[in-house]
Amino acid sequence: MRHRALLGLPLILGLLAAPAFAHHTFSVEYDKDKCSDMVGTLTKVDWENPHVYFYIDLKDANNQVSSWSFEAVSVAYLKRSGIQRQDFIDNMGKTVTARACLGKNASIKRAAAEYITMPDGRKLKVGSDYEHGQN
Amino acid sequence: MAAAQDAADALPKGGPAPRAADGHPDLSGVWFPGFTGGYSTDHPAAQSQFDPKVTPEEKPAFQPWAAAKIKSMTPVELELARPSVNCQPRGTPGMLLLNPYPTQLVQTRDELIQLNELNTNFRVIHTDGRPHTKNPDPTYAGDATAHWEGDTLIIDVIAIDERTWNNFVGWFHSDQEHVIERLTRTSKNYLIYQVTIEDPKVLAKPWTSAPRMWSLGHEDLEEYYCTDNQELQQYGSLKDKDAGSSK
Repeated sequence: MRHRALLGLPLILGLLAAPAFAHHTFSVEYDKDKCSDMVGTLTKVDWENPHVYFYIDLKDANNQVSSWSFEAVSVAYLKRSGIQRQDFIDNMGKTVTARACLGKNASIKRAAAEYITMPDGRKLKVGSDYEHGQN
Repeated sequence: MAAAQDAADALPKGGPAPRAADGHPDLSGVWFPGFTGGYSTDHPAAQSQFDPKVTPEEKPAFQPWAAAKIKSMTPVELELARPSVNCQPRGTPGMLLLNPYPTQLVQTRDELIQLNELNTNFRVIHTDGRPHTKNPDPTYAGDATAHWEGDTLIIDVIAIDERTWNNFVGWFHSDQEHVIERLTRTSKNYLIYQVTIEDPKVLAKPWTSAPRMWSLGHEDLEEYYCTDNQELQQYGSLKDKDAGSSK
């Protein structure tokens, strides 16, 4: 239920002092200038904390397939955002699109996910919008 | 536009704070950081606990040696040392100062019980006027004694495990740390938390937070055991590359 703010609340507008989604500093680990749509086959989800991880088989330029790990926010964050483990289970083996940012160590096949788009077109926000300043 | 949306989402005050049988405010409830009694990935600003333009929060004033120690750490070293990255408990006062997840307070006649979703941990604060434990062992929650001053519960905490930090960027503390927490339920839907940290070994002067706002939610806590953090692998791989760089 949403309500209007009442006079007398001590603050609200333009706030910056929130605890962040993440418990770490995104910019140390990932590169917000290397975010892209990554399309492949969803193969697995680890429903755990401090991050949910899901895995996608991606093809490189030489058609070699490798498994990538995508970091999402925590279980609690996803559930309170209306995203369930079943959303991933229902789409195993199907083609999905992750909007994600690469790690600064490119040799590790990990990326920070912002969104995942399921085969039915649903675009789920599973991480911060790093490209637009969230951390 | 975003700010207007924030204001529209704020909970109303909801009436006066409920009272316990002894007349003190009842702090019980599931409290979310920020002003909407909940959160989602779509609205991260809802977790904001104060507006720095309205209630600016001073920066901690470190002793020179402590400032130098923090400054000497590279960004990757800071990440690797962070208690939060290592799945360590936030402890006191981090469980309220650095916690993006809800916390449940259960008030009884002689105790305040705090159940933290984050790391699925808890603390029990005696409110019956008993003094600190003699020669307390250091713990994450610390050794607490509490009393009421008007409608504010004052929690006095010592013996806090030195592995806890007071911010996310290296504010470590000593065995001399003394934490004074103030909890005030200003209305049915809002709880204000303010903390003062004294630590003469590390700080040049005591530090007091801005009043931090928590709002009443209506959900059960989730189980949150911090277990497998793959970031440690990534940070470890960056450590050598990062060595020698400065912040």
